[in-house]
Amino acid sequence: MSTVASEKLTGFADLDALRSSIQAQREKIETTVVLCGGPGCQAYGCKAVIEAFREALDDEGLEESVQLRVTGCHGFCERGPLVVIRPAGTFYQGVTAEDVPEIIQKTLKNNQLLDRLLYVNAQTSQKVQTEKEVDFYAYQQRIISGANEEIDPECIEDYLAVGGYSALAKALSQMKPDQIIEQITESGLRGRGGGGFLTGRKWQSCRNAQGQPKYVLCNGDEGDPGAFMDRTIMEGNPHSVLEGMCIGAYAIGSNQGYIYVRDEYPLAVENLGIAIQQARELGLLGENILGSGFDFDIRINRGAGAFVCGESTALMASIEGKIGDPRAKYIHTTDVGLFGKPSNLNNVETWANVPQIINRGPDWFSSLGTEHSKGTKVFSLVGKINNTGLVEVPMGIILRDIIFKIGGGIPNGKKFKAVQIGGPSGGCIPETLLDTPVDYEQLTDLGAMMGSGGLIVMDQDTCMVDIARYFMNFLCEESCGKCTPCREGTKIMLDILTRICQGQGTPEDMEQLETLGEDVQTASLCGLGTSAPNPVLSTLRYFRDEYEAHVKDKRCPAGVCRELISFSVTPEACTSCSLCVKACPVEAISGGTRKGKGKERTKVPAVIDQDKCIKCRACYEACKFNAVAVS
Amino acid sequence: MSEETTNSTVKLSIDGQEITVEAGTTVLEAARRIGIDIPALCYHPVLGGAGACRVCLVEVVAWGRRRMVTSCVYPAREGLEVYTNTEKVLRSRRAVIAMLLAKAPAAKVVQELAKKYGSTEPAYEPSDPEARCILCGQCVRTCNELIKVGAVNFAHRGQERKVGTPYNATSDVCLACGACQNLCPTGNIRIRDKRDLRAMLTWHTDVPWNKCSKCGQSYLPARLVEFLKQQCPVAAELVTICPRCRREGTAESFVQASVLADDE
Repeated sequence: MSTVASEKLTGFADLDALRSSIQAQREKIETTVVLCGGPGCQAYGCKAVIEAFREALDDEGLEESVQLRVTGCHGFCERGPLVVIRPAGTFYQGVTAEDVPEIIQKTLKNNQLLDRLLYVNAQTSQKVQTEKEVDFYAYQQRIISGANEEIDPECIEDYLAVGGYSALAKALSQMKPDQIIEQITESGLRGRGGGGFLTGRKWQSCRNAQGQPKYVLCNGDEGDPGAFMDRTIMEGNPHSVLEGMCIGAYAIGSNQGYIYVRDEYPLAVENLGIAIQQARELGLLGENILGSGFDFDIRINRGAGAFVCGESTALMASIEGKIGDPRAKYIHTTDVGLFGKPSNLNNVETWANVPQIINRGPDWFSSLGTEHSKGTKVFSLVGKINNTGLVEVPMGIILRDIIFKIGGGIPNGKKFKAVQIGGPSGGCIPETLLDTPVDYEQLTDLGAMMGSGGLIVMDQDTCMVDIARYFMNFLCEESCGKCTPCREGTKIMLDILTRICQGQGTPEDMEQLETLGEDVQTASLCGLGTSAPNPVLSTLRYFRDEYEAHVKDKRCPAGVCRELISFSVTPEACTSCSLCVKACPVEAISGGTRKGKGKERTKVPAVIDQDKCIKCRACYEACKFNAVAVS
Repeated sequence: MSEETTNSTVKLSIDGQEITVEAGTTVLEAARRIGIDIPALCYHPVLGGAGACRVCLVEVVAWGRRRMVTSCVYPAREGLEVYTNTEKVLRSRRAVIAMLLAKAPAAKVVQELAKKYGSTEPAYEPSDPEARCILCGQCVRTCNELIKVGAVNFAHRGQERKVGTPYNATSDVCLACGACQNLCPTGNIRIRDKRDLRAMLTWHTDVPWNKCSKCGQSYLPARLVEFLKQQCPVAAELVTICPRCRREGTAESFVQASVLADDE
């Protein structure tokens, strides 16, 4: 399905005609099997499932009546591989290649449900048939990510079938550039990469700027640990980004676009490349787009995996072939940006919102969300959470709903402790503040930030000092090193945090962390440095007692920091199953077995030799009877 | 920005003193013009500022908003109020100097700043008491932007960041011109002129001398001579002769000319 069966489109009517013919063709197909081919499902082995479907449909002679569609991520990564059967919308999860023949025989041929593959809603314990009924999806509003299921990313016809490029046609045929900017401004769309700057205003500055040529750029350098929002859009629905950029370029007065993608996203690079090629072949990119006289083309630039290259000026330096160092932005990049020319940089998700706003109007968009944060936001929900995956929610939803209603709460009956929002330099929000709505200003007030959409959930077993140390280590390694406070300050803070985790911290260390954090915030050059102290300052603000326990009592309440904990076996709880003995990598555990035969058989509880123990937690994780205690 | 043309001037106040400068002038340059000293380590009049060392931080009030900016790159604007000595500025400056003192304890310019601003305690235990490099990048910018040879650049990130030739190997392009040493504020770049060659010790590169085509004396690194010939073909002959022979030649031609004039 990856070839375009059309000549270059030279007018708006051509596009409508092509779309109608594709839609008419699609109407003839009775059944569509939608298979998620996203990275999460791939990790669960969806490739084998896809292969099994291909072969089985061939063998059964169903390749004509049943369409197979391999798409980008559906979001519910926790339950992959995912299969959705249309038109009924039957939702199967955790599908294996062995299930495929039965799905074909029972569901496709005889309309029977396969009970074992249905999803059970956590709250009601009821099995549900369709995707809509699944609690994970029920509270979402998937205006950006929802289309992923309709689209084979290698097939531009799929995108056209769901109305793709109609916003571009509308913009080019019926709207003046100023009108487009007006609508984007009215919609209240703000930058989804973290800054939260009003997109329309940014476009206006770039349009007004002196100098030619102008550039539009797409930031696909998503580098936050545990984040995959932009990846999913670029991999699953690349044309939505291209269409958004094309509309933006027309509004701003640019003829050249760049997409900066990190090379760790090979599928995103590949799918964007295919999409650009297909759009060019159809005349949706290139010279004289749809006969409108407007020229625009896009180049892909691959990043080499430096976190700082997600910063706008560093990104531009990197595209220019220079070292990815940021520079001061007292003169905005909309005036002097890439190659010294006016440049408009937006994040992947921001661009993907643009066609929707043009098609459905600014009023529709601004009806979603809060007073100052409009539309939806895509989050990657990860960490200690039952439903790991990609969620898209209207702005203004409270964090508690994302974590408990959509995310299904914390696994293994453990208690929620904190959620880290806004990427590595975001902040940790405690349980008491979970009723905070998702809103740029309100999150910033809490010492966190919207960021690009990473949500890392932590449970009672997470040590907040250790978490602060982890993020500081990340930022220290990813600091470009250009400016003094970020380069030196993150290192000093990391050293202090490491000391505290090792039980060598002092009360003065905590004060110094706060002072230093403020200094780094005020004195650093770019956003990386100014936000780098956030994880430390927010954990000090909300989890000060944990710091104090480390510093004063030399105790790690969560039982994480190795130097402050020891493992022991509670003899009464030990069943002598020997699982811990097998798990221990340094043979520090003796006993834990059963001696003798028949009635003589006695249990010998396990004992951990503290001198040999390296505190790796393997025994703690292995024990099924909670007999291994951390103190 | 865009409404200001390069020809116009702007009026701003720095610590209460008013000054009018051409648009595009940085706050640091404007301040120095009226004798207000703002320390700066990555700034050089020839190169401009880099916004990297962060000791030139000042507070500004622009469009009703008060914030900290780096004066070496912040452009002077109409009606801007600048404060170079507030408690907030001094606190940040002291913090940055303490960090630099830990990074480069042997750098004299940093020691002097530390004394002046009273932050004599390094921010952490220096790992190398002899270290001088503060990563201001003036050598890098000199080599890349002024000389346009690009023999040295930054390598690695964060704490590992260093200046050097690619892979710290001998450079094939370093001219041994020594401009980097001239601009380095901490005296970190070491050059030794030997009998046969100029050793750029910091860059692990030796470049042999060019011998004067008249007297045979060494006077300039050979690569530099080639570079100058390419840059300025008209002067190609001039640069192959040592300064002394050039002077003698010029003097000789004067004498010749005056003899000729006398003859007429």
